Amino acid sequence: MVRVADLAHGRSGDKGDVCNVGLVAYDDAGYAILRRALTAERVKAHFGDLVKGTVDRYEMPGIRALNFVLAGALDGGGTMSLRSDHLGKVMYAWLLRMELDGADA
Amino acid sequence: MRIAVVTGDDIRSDIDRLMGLGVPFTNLDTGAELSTVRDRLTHACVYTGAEGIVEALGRGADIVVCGRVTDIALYLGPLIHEFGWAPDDWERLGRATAAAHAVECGGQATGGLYAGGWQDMPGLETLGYPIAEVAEDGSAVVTKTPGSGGRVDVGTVSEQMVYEIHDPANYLTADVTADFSGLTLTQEGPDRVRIGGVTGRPRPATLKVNMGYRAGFVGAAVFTYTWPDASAKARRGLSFLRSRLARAGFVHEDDLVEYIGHNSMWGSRIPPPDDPELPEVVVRYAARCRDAAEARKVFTESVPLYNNGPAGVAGVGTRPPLKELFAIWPCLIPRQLVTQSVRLLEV
Repeated sequence: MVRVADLAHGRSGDKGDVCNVGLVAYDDAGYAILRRALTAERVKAHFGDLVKGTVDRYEMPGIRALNFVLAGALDGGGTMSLRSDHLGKVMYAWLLRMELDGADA
Repeated sequence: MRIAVVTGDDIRSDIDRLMGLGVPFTNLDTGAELSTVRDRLTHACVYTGAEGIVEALGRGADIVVCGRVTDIALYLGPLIHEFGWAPDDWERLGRATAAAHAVECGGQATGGLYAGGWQDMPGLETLGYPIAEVAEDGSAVVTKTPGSGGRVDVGTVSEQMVYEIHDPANYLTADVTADFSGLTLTQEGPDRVRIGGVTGRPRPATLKVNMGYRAGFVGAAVFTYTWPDASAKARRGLSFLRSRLARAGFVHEDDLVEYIGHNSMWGSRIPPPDDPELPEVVVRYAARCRDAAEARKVFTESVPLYNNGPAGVAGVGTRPPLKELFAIWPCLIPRQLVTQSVRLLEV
């Protein structure tokens, strides 16, 4: 079983009720797999009801990074959220936990 | 010593005049009208750019104290002053914005929070803060003080470069629209990473305004159940609390249950604990309420858990301070309606 964490590291943060998750692949092969596998739709499905709004994906190929912008992801935003992780600091780790199936790798 | 004070960001007392000029201050996220929260406003500050800092330094300030300026402006200001860059030198400003973004969160660029191998990060206790060595063309090398802890490499800087950005091709600031989409990072030596591939385009015609308004209170209760059957007891304790709250006529806007140590970070993505052999289960119940008196009920109604609820409970604790909520109202203002002014004090 391959997880996103086997191919990339990451970091997440907040702007209002928007959380961004940046993934940085360890090598070119991993970046190619992640670019193919981690569509905005699949990432949105992986976060489920943690993310109420849209998911947009951006690429930064020069550093092998994918940036996911999750709208409505912090229960109203840092100052309003009831969640213990009100700033989305560990949302990246949930994406690193995502399992990739054989067809992806 | 000369101390400069840069103002102009605080527009709270000017809102009526500005709305009269046709600025709607519509909520950027929700599209709602400002009138819905106007009577609860706590502040209204514009994210202003580097202009005031540049003027202050040009007038010989030793220390510059600002109202709300962007984090990026804190770096662009001294660079524009030092190199004499034109305010529309978008390419240089864009490059320097990348350098500023690399260092603006301190230790997050030098190994702090590094997720790519935290076990091997040396010297977190004495982490060196990042330094950007910026050249006249805006290009930069990120490094840190010799002998300090942490590490500057492509991995640590990469994580910071993707931190709190949206569209990398349009990194909006008050001074420039930076384009990070072609960003490259190159290891030039130990603890030295060169930033490349960045450019800039004209700054936005609008500035972002951060308004805030009073938005109620959070009431929270935390309690712990122990083996045997900690999970089932925790569920029963929770239903006890909810039932007591209902009997007390509890009015709330929203609530949340987290099991700390189990699913307090990823909520519903992790089902509640159900293993009867768990040594302990920590429950956190939190609710948003319009009124402080309602929010207080959460703790008050959790206290009887200590004597009247299921066995094996601990940690209900003493009454926690009530947390007041301040919501953010993000909106825009045309930049020509905002003027920074600089006052110099000799001390």
